This record gives sequence, C-alpha cells and structure tokens, in this order.
Amino acid sequence: MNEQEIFTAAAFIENSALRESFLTTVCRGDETLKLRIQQLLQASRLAEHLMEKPQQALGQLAAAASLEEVPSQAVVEELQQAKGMSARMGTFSPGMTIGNYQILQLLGEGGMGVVYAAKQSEPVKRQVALKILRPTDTSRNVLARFEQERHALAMMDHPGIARILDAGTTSDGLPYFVMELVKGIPINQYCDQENLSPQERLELFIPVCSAVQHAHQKGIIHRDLKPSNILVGLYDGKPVPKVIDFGVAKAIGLHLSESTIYTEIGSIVGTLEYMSPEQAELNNLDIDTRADIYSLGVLLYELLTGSPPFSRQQLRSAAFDEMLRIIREVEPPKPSTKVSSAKEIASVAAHRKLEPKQLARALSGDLDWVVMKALAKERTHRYQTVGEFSEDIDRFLRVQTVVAGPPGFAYRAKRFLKRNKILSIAMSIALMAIVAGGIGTTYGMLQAWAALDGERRALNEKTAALRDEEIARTSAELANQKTLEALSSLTDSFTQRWLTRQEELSTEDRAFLEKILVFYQDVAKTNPDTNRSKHIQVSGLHKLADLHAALGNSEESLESYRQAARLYQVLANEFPEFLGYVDGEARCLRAVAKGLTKKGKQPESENAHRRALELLSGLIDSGTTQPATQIEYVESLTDFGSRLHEHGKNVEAETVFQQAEAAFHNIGEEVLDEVERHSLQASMLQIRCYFFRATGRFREALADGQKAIELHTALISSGVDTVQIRRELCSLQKMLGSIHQGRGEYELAETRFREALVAAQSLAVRYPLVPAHRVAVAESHRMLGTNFYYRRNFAKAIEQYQQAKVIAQRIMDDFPSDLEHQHLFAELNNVMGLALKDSNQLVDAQRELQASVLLKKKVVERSSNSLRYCQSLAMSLHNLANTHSKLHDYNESANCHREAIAIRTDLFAKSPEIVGLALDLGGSHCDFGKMLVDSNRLDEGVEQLDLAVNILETTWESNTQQVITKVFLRNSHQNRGIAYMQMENWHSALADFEKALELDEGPNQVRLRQQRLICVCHIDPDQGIEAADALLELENAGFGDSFAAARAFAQISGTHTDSLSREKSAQRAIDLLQSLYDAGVFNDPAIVTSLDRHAELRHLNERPAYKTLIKIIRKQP
Amino acid sequence: MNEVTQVLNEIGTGGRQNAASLLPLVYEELKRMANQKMADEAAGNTLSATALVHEAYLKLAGHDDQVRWESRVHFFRAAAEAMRRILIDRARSKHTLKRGDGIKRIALNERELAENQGLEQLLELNEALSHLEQKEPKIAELVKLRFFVGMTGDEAAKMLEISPRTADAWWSYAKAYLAARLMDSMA
Repeated sequence: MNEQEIFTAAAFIENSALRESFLTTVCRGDETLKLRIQQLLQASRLAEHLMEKPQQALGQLAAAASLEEVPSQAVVEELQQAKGMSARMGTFSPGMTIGNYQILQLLGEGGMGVVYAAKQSEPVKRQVALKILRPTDTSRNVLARFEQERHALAMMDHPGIARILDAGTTSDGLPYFVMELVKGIPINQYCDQENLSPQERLELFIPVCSAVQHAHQKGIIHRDLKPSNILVGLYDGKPVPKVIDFGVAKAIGLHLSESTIYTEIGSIVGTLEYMSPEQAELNNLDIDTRADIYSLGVLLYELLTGSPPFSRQQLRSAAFDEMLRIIREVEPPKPSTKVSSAKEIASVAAHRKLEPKQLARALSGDLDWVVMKALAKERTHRYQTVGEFSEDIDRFLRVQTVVAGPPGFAYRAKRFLKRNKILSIAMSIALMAIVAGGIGTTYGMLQAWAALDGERRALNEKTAALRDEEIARTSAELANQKTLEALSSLTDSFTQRWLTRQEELSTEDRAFLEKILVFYQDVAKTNPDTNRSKHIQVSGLHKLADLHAALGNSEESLESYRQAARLYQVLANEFPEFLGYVDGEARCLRAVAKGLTKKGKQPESENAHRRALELLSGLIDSGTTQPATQIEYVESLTDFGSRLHEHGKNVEAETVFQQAEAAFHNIGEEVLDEVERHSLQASMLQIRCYFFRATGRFREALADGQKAIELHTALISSGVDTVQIRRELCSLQKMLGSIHQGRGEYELAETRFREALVAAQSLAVRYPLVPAHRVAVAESHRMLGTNFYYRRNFAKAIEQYQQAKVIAQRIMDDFPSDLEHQHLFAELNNVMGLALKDSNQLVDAQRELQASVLLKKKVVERSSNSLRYCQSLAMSLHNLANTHSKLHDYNESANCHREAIAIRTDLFAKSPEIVGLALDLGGSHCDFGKMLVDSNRLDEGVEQLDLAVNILETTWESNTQQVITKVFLRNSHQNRGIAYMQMENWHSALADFEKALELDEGPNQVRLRQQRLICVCHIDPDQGIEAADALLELENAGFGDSFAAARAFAQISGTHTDSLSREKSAQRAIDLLQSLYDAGVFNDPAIVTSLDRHAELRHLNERPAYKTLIKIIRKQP
Repeated sequence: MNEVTQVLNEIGTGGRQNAASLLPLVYEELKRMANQKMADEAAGNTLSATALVHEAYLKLAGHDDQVRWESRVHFFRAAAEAMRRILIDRARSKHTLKRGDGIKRIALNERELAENQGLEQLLELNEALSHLEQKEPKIAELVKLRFFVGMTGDEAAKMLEISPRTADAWWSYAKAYLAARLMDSMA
C-alpha cells in the first residue's frame, strides 16, 4: 500500500486506538511512514475546508501560523501590576497572622500561589494548609465564586478528598483558601520513591478515581487535577492518596482567555500538561466532568510511563498557541510505545521493579487502550464517568486471570489468521467489488487469489477470456481494493482479540464489530444470479457468520454458515478445479455442526460434521498441499472425536482420534514448519489425553499427555515461549499427576506435581502482576500436600499446605476484593485441618477448620450463595464435625453436622442432577450417624444412617462409575449394622453386614465377616458353629477371626439347646483364647480390657478352665 | 446535456479540432467555472472572470493556432493547468509589487494584511501542489480540475475515469497532503 492508500484506510477508522493499531500493522515497522500518515491525518482535520473555501482556510492557516504578536499596552500594564503584587506574596513569614490563622511555615510555591502550614485556634485548634493566590485579572471575583460553590464543597465528604475549610482575603486583598492539611508527597513522587510496580500504581490510582467520582456526584469538577494536587500520605502504614484543591480552580476562574495567555502564562504552563483539549480552547466555558477524566488519564499515563503524554519540555519548546494546538490535536503515543522509545526507559522500568522489556509488555494491550480512551480528544469518546474508568482498571487488574484464555486458543487464532490470509484477502477483494460499485473484479479477485494461492490453474478459460477493457478498469480500482484488504485484516485481528478475550468486549468494540457486520450483511444480500456475484456473496456470508459467531448471535451465525455452506457447494460444482470452495464448505459445515450441538440437535450436528470430514478427506485424497486444509482436517477430526466422546460414543471416538493421528502423520514434512507441526500435534494429543483419562484408560492418557508435554517443552526450547504453552504444561502435569495419584502411584504423581509447581513458578516470576500465576503456584503446593496426605505422610503434607497458605495469604492481601483468592485460602485451612486431624493434632486441626468455616461463610455471603462456595463450606463444616467428634465434643460435632446437612440438603434439592451433591449429603448423614452411634445415641444414629443408605443407594444405582459412592454406602450399612448390634437387633444387623459385604472389596471385609459371624451366632447356634468353622478355615484367617470365633463359641456354649454342643463350644472357645494368649495377643492391655465388653464371653464365666485362663491373662498371681 | 459538453464529447469521438474553433463554444462554460473560482478567491486577485478565461484561452492556444485536443479530458487538463498558471503568475507579481522589490513594507490595514497573506498562501499552495504533482500526478490532476477549473468531485471523477469514491479518497488525501506541506512551510 502506498501513502495515499494507507491514509485513506486510516481516515476511515474513527476510533483512534483502532486506527493506531491499524497503522502499526500496515506500516510494518516503517516509523517514518507511520509518522507521515499521522501528520497527514492531523493535517486533514485542518484541511477539511481547505479547498472548498480556500481563502478562509488559508486565513486560518495564517492565523495559526502568526503567533508572535506584540501584546497591547493595556495587557502590558496589567502584567506589570500583577508582577508587583506577586512580589508582595513572598513577604508572609512565620508568626504572621492572616485572618484566624497563624502562619507556621512555607510548604511550597506553585503557579497559582503560595502554600503555608498554619495554625487555627478558633473554633478548633488544628493545623491547616493556607493557600494564598497570586493576583490575576479574575482573582477579584474569587470569593464570590467560592461562595457560589461553598455549599456544594461542604457536601463533599470522602477520605480521599482534602476538605476546603474556609476562604478569605488578606489585608492586601489577596484571596486565600484554608484547607485540611495533608501530610504527603505528590503521587508520582511517591510511586517512584517506593518503586511501585505498575500493578501497585494502578491500585493506588483507583482510590483517586473514587475520590474524584465522589466529587463529581456532588456536582464538583476539579478542573486542575495533576500530581501536585494528589498527595499520598501513610495512614496506619498504608498509602492513602488525597486530592487537594477541589473548588479552587473554579473559584479562581481558571480558564484560558486572551488575557490569561499573557498574565497567567507562568501559572498555566505547569497545568497545561494535564489540561484537557476542551480546556485548551480559548474562552471555552463548557467544561464538564469529562475534563477531569482526561486529566486523570494524563496522570495515569505519567504514573505508568514516567512522563505525561506531552512532556513539559515538548510543550515549552513550542509557542503558546502551538502548545494548545498540541493538546487539542496531537495524538500522544500509547504508553507502551512511549516507554519503548523513551531514552530513560531503564530507570523508568527500575522504578517499577521491572526490566525495560517487561515494562513495555506490561503496558501494551489493554492497559494501552484504557489509558488512551481516557485521553481521547473528543470527550464523547472518553470514559463518560470516572466510575467507568476505574472499573475498567479494576477489571484489568482482575482480568489478568483470564488473559491466557481457553487452552491453546491464542495459538489457534494466530494460525487461523495466518492460514486464512488467502481466504480473507479473497473476501476483501470481493467486498471491494461491492463497495466500488460492482465493477467486474472477478479477474482481479481470481488473480489475487491465484497468485497468493500458488494455484494458478484456477485461472480458467472464463477468466482468461475477459476483455482487456475490463482488466483496465479493474486495475483502476486496485488501489481501493488494497485499502479494503487492510481494513479486512484489521477486522480479523479485531475479531481475534475479541475471541481470545470474549467476556471483555466493550460496548465500543461491539459497536465496531456490528458496524462491520452491517457492511458484510449488504454483501451477503447481493442477488446471486451470476457466478461472480455468488462468489462475492459467499465470501460475505462466511465473514458475516464469523462475525455473528464472535458477537454471540448463535442463531444468526448458524443460519449464515448454513447458507454459506450451500453456496460454496454450488460454486464448487461450477469451478471444480477451485479447491478453495470445498475447503470453505467444510469449514462452514463444521461451524454448523458446532451450532447444532449447542442447540442439542445431536444427530444433525453429527451429520454435518461427517459431511465436513468427507469433503476434507476428499480434498486431501485429491492431493491438495494447502497447509490450511490439512490442519483443518486434523483439527476437525480431533474436534469430532471429543464431540463423540461427550455423547458416549467412545468406540467411534477412538477410531476418529486414530484417524486424526494418521492424518497428522500424512502431512508432508515440507508443508508445516516445526513450530506449527509441534503445536498442532500437542493440541491433538492433549485432547485425546482428556478422552483417555475420562474413559479410564489411564495408561494411554499418560502416554499422550507425556508426549504433549515433550512437544510443549520442545516448543519452549526452540524459542516459542508463550504464556499459553507454559499454562498448558502446568495443567497437563497436574492432570497426569492426578491420574498417577488415582492409580496409587504416589511417587510418580509427586514428580508431576513438582513439575507443575516449577512451571507455575516460572510464570509467576515472569509475570509478577498476574495473580493467576501465583494462584497456580499455591495450587501446585496444595496438590503436593494432598499427595503426601494420601501417603499418610502428614508432616510433609502440612509443610506443603503451609507454603501454599503463605502464598495465598499474600495474594489475598494484594487482591482483597477477589472472592476466589479468599476461598483458596479458606480451602487451604480446610485441607490443613484435615491433615492435622489425621495426624492427631486435634486442637490445631480444630483451629484451622474453624478458620476455614469462618472465611468460607464470608465468601458464601458475599457471593450471594454461589453453589460452589456453599458446597465447599459444607465440606469444611463436615471436617470440623469429625474433628469435634474425635475430641469427644459430641454436641459441637452434632451442631456442625446439622449445619453441613442443612446446606447440603438445600443444594441437593436445588440441583439434583449434580452427582457430587447427593454423595456429599449421603456422606454427611453417614458420618453424623456414626458419631451418634459412637456417643451411644443409637436411635438417632439409625435415623441418620437410614437417610444415608436411601440417598446413596439411589445415587449408586444411577451411576455405578463413581466408586466412592459405593464406599460411602458400605460404610453406612456397616455403621448401621453396628448400631443394630448394640441394640441387639441381630437380624437387622446381619442384613446390613451382608449388604456391606456385597459392596465391599477392600480391607474392611475382615471386620465385616467377623461382625457377621457375631450376628449369626446370636440368631441361630447351629448356623453359628458352621459360620465360625468356615471363618477359621479361611486361608487368610487371622487373630481377629479367631477372637470372633471364640466369642461365637462362647455365645453358643450358653444358648445351644443341646448340652453336648454347649460343652463342645465352650471347650473350643477356651482353646481359641488359649491359642491367642500363646501367640501373645493379650500382651496388649487394650485387648485385655475389651474382654469385659463382649457380652458373649460372659457365658464362659462359670467355667473353671476359663477362670484359670483369665487369671493368667490378667497376670493375677 | 448542454452544448459545450456535446462539443467536448464530439472531440472525444470525432476528429481533432483546433482551439480557435472551440473557444466560442466553451467560452460560457469556462466563464461560469471561472466566476465560481473568482468568488472563492475573493480578495487579493484582480482578475475578472472574463479576463481569466481570455487569458486561459490565450495560454491554451499559445502561439500555435493549430494545437489540437485529443479528448475532452486533454482539453480540460490543459485548461486547468492554464488557469493555474495565470492565477499564480498574478499572485506572484502582485506579491512582489507589495513587497516593494524586497524592501519590507509595513501592512497598512487589516484587509491588506489578509490579502497579502492570502497571496502568500496561494503561492505556497501552488508550491505544495507541484510537490504533489511529482509524487502523485493523477491526484494532482484531480486537484487542478477541482481547484482551478472548479469542477465538482463527480465531474472530475468522470473526467479522469475513476469512480466517485476513488475521487473522494484522492481529494481527502490531497487536502491533507497540501495542508501538511503548508503547515511545514509555515513552521
């Protein structure tokens, strides 16, 4: 594009920030060209009427140029008079009294006057700041104007605003103001002195906004915001900014007029850097709150970059009118550009605790936009309220969490842009044809496409036959085509930005996209009677569909994709040699499939996706070497595979994943470069890894995940080191770690979690401003801790949790408003409590869990009962209940259980479809029941356990994949069985133990078979004998089994109807106990005391052999 | 379609005609255009519309009565160039006169001051236009047609066989270009 074309395109873009990014793109680093275009754009504003009314415009130019006029005599006199009065201002010295105020010391001298610290004795004793103004032609009315605003000023009450207390005139007639004395230094000095990071500067800036917002709400405009009017002092060790001088600018009538140029030039220049364009107009009295927004924008710009957009030097070097013109018309560089080009960048960055490159990176992107929006020349283009401004900053601070966006997306978007260039260029050419009045551009269109495509054969006979004349006309329009091409690529990069940061699309962004959308809508509406117009229409439709999709208009995008797909098909039939149409159809069909899935139309979606794959595989078979098509095929297959998996078609999904892999390996070496190849393969493997993990094929999942990790690592070492890749790495490691953990491979899991920790740490170090990375570090510590917890290495678990807590505490301090961070900390309290409980440090456990409950309750309240936080709170309550129970504080335990159950019942009732909620509720009832049984409240216990069994049974039947449900259900049966045993309800107890045994596969089986035996021997002695024999004959029978059998025989010795059986049973019981004694089992005093508790053994009490044995056991002489 | 246009069109299709036979026909049209021009030029120029056209004619015809026009575009381009030269020559000589052969004269009144400045601007504009001509001859052509002949954008577009949209784009660019140069020369 030449200068004129770039200029025309740039002038088309109204939004200055967009225009700036457009220029950066098209000028491709040619700064001279860019500067030249910017000059032209500025000039064009002035030139608007140049040639229509030459004389007038030339006159304006002349007026603008002739600045050095001599001031009139009157002005000179006034100037001298003012100088004389100014001289008198320095004569106030400590001890002198002005009004009720005694001067203490000189604080400072500024453009507008002199500030003293002074003492007030009436009506209250306090120190105040006394500002004596320099005389100006308008100062005569200062008091009158102040009186007008006094009421409004009195209404201001904000910790960030220094109050104006009084105003008056000195005996010399100099006006003065009395203000709250603020001990602090200008905000910019404070920030540099403390070396605050950009993040910290933004955080300090927000309260400034809220102070100004407060004043605006009271109808007060500051009009003179600048660093020296925003002082930062320390209160309780925390920096608090205070805005001073509210009402002063208005009262002294600070606005530019011819006379101020001469009389107040000195005082105004200091302010000029912060003055809004509208204030920089002579005699402009139409100033509103948006002027303050501009000044705040300048302030923020300075805080971030180290200097205001137009530096004092830059302004001073210009004539006065020129200074004003610069403020009104010159677009300042973006903050990131400013710092990149600043000579003193090293020191600016150092004051922000960053490397120069990091600083530019931290500022570029959204922060640039935020600042530039506040600095818009047109106030209607600025933020309309300070609130909006600070919200955007706040959002920026918080939003960093989502900067990275969904996994792998930025990569995909980048590639989309790269690979679809051909398509988008063709589309913009098509678009051009409409804009330029539909002159025959098929030739140019196809030529451009073909040239870029390398597929010159696409130039078929029809094109070649075009008349020379038409070609000539086409070339006349080529300049414009290129302009639109640039516009189109702008749209693309805009769409990309939108897609990666979906939730942040501002209303302005949306408006822009919608404007473009209308443009494409017109294109799409053309009447497709000829092939040429069909081509134009389909390109428009495709773009339209993309835009609708981007804007979230799902119905419209679906319909547009459908139409585009149909039209591509028609064109593909017409021009079979033109493979681009088939590719287009396949892409649209895949998008259609996606849209249909969203609407729940699974079969239709599947059909569309299959058709897309058919087309693509046809293209591949026909030998296309288009990288875009080959990549699309692999991605489309992978996408289809995971879609199939989502709908339970796992067998077919696996086949499709295999096809994807084969398709990937079929891509010729020369087609993709290494980076593209690795990225494509990594994202394919990562998705398949999720599939394998979800279907329980852990070995394959581990293999794919490992390979994906290697590819990502290779990318990093080859220099493609993006945040996304590092994040993917971190999340892959975590996932593989949890797979290992699930398989009981704790050491392997530990290694993974440590890798995840390293990945997260490297990000956190590189991007200290992004809380998400610090959260990832804390999370990795937590997972490591849980790894140790599972291995019952509680000490190490606690150590990891402790590290996580330290980090989480800092994050929480830095971002106190983010609930997620508070929750993270509360959750760490919870896991820490659990580890302490299980290592029997019950008091500490109780303290952690209580803290967790308390903090989570706050989070729940502030989140208006968000499901996730409620669920989490119930978990902490549950753990606390179990800890209380372990401490035998049954009342407290019951309270906590009830609270947890109330929450869980409510959640379950609201969202019964969420499996975890039923499980939680069942678990609560189960543990509560057990606690009640332990504390001998048997009836209540059984009641709770009944509830547990009911819920868990239903849950288990509806989903037998969730093994943990089974464990909970078994525990409930076992606990209820124990309760029934204590109630001597042997039949019910037996039924529960049988049920539990059915469900059991683990170590509890041993206890259950013993418990079952006891029940049986109570119910039927003969069956008891059989069961006891069977138990003793088990291969793995142990001491516990022998002891249970002894109890059974003892019981039978007292209850069997046949006397011989009674004798025999008694003898066997005693023999068994004897053998246990011989084996040394009774060396454990706990077991000895337990002998008394078993009612069955009492049947042996009268037998001499037992008495002797017991005596020996108790070591009685 | 008025007579002039018709004749001019005939130039395009039929054989060549000499300037002398053309003048009576284009006289009124040129005069209309010139009038428009003069109204804009206002102060600082003493040429009357009629005189301008006469001068233009003389320049167009030159000393050779046999100058032939290959097309109406050709004719108007030449006309535009001629009018430009006339205006600039006038301005130049007047400016020199006012400066009194290098001796700086103090402006007597506001009107004269403005007039003087206007002349200077016009000369500077012409200078800028010459630069544009070197860089973008076609765009400069458009400027001359619009500025010195007084054509509308659409008329000029038709003349140059470009779309009105392109003409608009060129026009905006030209204005910016000239304005930027003017500002430069003032600074």
